[in-house]
Amino acid sequence: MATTVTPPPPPGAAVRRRPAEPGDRDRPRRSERDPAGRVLNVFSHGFLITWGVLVTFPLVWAVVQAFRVDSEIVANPWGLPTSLRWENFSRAWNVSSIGDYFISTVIVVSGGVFLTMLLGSMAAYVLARYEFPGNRVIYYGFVAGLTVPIFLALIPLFFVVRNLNALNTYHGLIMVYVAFSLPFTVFFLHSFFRTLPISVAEQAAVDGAGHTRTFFQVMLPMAKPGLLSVGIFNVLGQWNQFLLPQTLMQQQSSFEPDRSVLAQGLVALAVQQGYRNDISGLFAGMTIAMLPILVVYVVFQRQVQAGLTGATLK
Amino acid sequence: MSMRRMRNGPARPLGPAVTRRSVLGQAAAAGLIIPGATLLGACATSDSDDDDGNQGDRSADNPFGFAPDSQVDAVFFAGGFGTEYPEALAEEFATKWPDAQVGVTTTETIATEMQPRFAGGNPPDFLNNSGDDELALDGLVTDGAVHPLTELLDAPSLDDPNTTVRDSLLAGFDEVGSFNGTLYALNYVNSTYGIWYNAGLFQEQGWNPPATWSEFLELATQMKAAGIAPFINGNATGLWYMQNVLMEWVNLEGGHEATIAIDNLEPDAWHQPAVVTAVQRLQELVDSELVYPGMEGLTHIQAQQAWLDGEAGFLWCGTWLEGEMSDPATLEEHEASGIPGDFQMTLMAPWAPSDNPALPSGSVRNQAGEPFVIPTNGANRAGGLELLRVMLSKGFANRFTELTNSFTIVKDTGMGVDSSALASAAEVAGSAPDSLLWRWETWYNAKMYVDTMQPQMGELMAGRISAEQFLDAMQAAADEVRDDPEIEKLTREA
Amino acid sequence: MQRGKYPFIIGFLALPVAVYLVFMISPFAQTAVYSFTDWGARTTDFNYIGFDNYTRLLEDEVFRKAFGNSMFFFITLPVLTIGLALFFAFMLNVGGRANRAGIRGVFGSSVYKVIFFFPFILSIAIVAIVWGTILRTDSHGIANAILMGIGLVDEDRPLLFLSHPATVKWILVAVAVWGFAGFFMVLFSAGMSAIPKDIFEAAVLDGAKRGQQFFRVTLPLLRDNISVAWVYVGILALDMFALVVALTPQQGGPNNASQVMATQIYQTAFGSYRPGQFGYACAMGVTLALFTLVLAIIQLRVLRRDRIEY
Repeated sequence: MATTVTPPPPPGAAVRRRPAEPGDRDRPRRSERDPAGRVLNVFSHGFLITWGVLVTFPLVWAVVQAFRVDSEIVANPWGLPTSLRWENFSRAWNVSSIGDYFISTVIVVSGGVFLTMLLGSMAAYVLARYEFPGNRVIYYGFVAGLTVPIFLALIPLFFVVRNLNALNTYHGLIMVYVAFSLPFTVFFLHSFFRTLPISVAEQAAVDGAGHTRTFFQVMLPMAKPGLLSVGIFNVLGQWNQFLLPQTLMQQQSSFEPDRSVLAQGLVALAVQQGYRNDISGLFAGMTIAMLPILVVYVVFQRQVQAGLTGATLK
Repeated sequence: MSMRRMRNGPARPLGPAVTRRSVLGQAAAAGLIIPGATLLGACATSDSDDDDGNQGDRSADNPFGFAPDSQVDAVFFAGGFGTEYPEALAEEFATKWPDAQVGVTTTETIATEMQPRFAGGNPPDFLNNSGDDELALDGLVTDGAVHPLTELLDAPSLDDPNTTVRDSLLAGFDEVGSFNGTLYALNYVNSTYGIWYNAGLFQEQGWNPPATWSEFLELATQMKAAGIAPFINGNATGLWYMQNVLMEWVNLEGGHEATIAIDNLEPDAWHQPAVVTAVQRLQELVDSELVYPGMEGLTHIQAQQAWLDGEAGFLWCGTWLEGEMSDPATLEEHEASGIPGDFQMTLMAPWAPSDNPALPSGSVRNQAGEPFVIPTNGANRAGGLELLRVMLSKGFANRFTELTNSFTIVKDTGMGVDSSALASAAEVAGSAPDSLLWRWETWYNAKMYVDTMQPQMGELMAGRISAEQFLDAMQAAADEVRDDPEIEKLTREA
Repeated sequence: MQRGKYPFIIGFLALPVAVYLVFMISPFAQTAVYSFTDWGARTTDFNYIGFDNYTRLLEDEVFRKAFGNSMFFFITLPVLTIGLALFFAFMLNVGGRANRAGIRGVFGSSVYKVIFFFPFILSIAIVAIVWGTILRTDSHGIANAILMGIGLVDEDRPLLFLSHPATVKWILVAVAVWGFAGFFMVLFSAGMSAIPKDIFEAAVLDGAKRGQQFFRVTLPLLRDNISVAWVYVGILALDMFALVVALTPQQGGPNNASQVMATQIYQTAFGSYRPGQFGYACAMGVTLALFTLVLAIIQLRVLRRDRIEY
């Protein structure tokens, strides 16, 4: 009597078996002998390269045009620069004030991201790890903010900021950035904090650390990867934000300084393009604006990817 | 992208506001437009009688009591006239009032940036309310937000204390910008509108500017043979220009009775023979492929540049054209001159849509444009008034013409400017036997122009609707306006 | 637990909640309140008019057109974006040569990922500037120039792209997909690589081909990611504000062919040539917000399955 019954091989398996051939031992079993895989590989590269070109070509083209003169660009959009027109860039930087906008943006985004991360992590931590009445309400309150478009709040927001005498100020815009970045930050960090082990916190309690110290000295450091990912997303989001600064960062008189941020400046350049002929300056300004984002992105690539992976695992 | 458009036309009815639709930047910039209302109860219906805006004593030399060491906050529209003249104005002001400070801001999007300031009670002292994103003047007047300019007009002019400002200006300057007889917006530029072409090219080719439709058709054939599109217009942003082409033809073809009938909302006014002819001509332009391929998606600037590059023969514009395409700032910094050196920009009166029009050939539209207002609640209203008075001086008017290649409404100015564009415009205006005119476009701007004419014109010029459909749509809009009790109706006799 | 729990909680929540309430919740709430008024362009005060604004919405033809267009984007954008993203993620992770170690991703996948992700982080102004210039409607536009060079387009009839009512929506979808797909490619790719290899190996041992692997193994395990992505793209599709405003003539043209709910709200509120519109615009806004919220909840419910443990 048979003591074990071998189940019949599933239908597909039979196809894969082939008689042994001389040289099998030397040759890898699958790679060269997987015609389906090879075709797919070629296909894959084909599609991927095509998409890669589609993505990079428009941007590369625009950057190249930034080095040409308007008349050249219109006459022959394909052409390469005959000489490198750096004056387009200096014009964008000075006359179009891209330089000033740059500085403004750095100030606003540094303050904004720092405060967002601080307040966001504080709120997310409490909501994730402490039970108390109203916890769910507050949490969903933050999350609901993700679904509503910003411009719905614009006019009343203007009055709110105005009443605080905070129009055209750095601190005013920063506070608004923080408010609008909190939903995403709290949402993301909340799930992150939930996954941190309780044991560490308990150990800290045993060691006599209060809640605050536990947070700053134990939990936050453990949350570094998540913080970094969210931080980067916030930097990207706040750097490119234009609706809010366009509303709130406007000179209230000709004697106030112009504190516009980069995105505002770019849109203004694009508007100007409708009134003047300076497309090379437009592309130059656009290139300048793109550079920091590009740098941040390339440098922090891995963290961004890791953050996405983490997000998918929740 | 936005369209550079100048204000023209008469006083607006105090009914529906009449701003043009927003444009790329203004819209993308996400308006701040606080619609005049203020929950905080700031400005609204302020009493301009109570508050003189006086800061000092008045005198013959200082008719508004301007405090000589104060600040004046001035906002200008950065459009076809460029941003050099505002700085020049500040300089001119400084020669008379050296202790004062004039702060100059220029922007392409006036309403986006000014409405919140009006709503918040801190408007500028001096405002060039122009461009596609301008504030609706009739609304400002209703709200009492702009100061009547009567005291400005009564004041002595800067150049000659024995002449009032009013008398130093060309007749008819106040046809535009007045409400019930009071002037609220000073339209500074004296513009002539019409068809532009390159006289140099025409000489070379032996072409003559056409006066009738068949002459135009003949010329168009020759142009196409030479590889030049006969007509171009930037229809993405410049549909207003096509409206002008159409109405000029209607006026020429049907005489003043035709346009008066339309303005007065008479029944079936849009089916008058002259109107039908004019619209059919537009359709013919498209069907016979006499237009530049792909112009449906071009901005007015792109179309004008293509014309300058010799790819099209005719376009419609006003006298700001030369200034708009040759921005001095960009010229110095980079060699991309909008205007090729041998291009002779020349204005001509529009040709008629038939061979026997009602009005004589050479008739053109000539009107004041580019409005300036003085907000009632500006912190330094007297300063704003004084700045405007300086602007109306002969000295500055000449400087303005130098910088922008456009004429002003100030008498005896603007001579000796070396520009074929300006010279031809002066000649055309000077020798015009009759004046073209219509009012419906500003009287009933919202319903008839923005809602109906603009989109329908786009469809017509793209060949997607027929002339009949276009006319039916316009007639339906006119009927709607006529039957709407909430819209104030205006009429004219001549 | 430690002592002083409540002071700590309050201390940590006070500032974030306060900022959030003052600068975000309160303005939204005010918008909801104004939707019941007739606050408009020329009045200094306003009256409460109950649900008048909402009933007016039901009869507004242009708003209905905008609604239809928004629905168009709501359906096409997620399908195309996520479909494309899955397709490319599959190739990135699985399209490589198989070897002893199992099926692996295509060579250079990390480089591809870096490149594909990039458009997502660009400012919308940049996207609009670049594509607006490329899609210029005469022969000077580079897209037209390329097509004319190949001979696909007649020189006298350049393609109108964004200036033709029949094509404008599709071009907008294309630009949106161009901008967003990369982000989701990377997201899904990350999700796929998180799936333990032994599951794939088991599938391969069971004789599953690549296609079967994808549909029977990968896709179900990615369900959570896909559903969240779907909701997110759906929200983007209901917005589309920046792209319509930046790329189309007359911001919603030609002739309202690309008008969406978001732009309709904006123009009703801020296109101030008609008095009495701001309250109405707020009503539109509230409607859109509610709609977005309801759709998001429905999607999450429908796509929810038990979490697969592995």
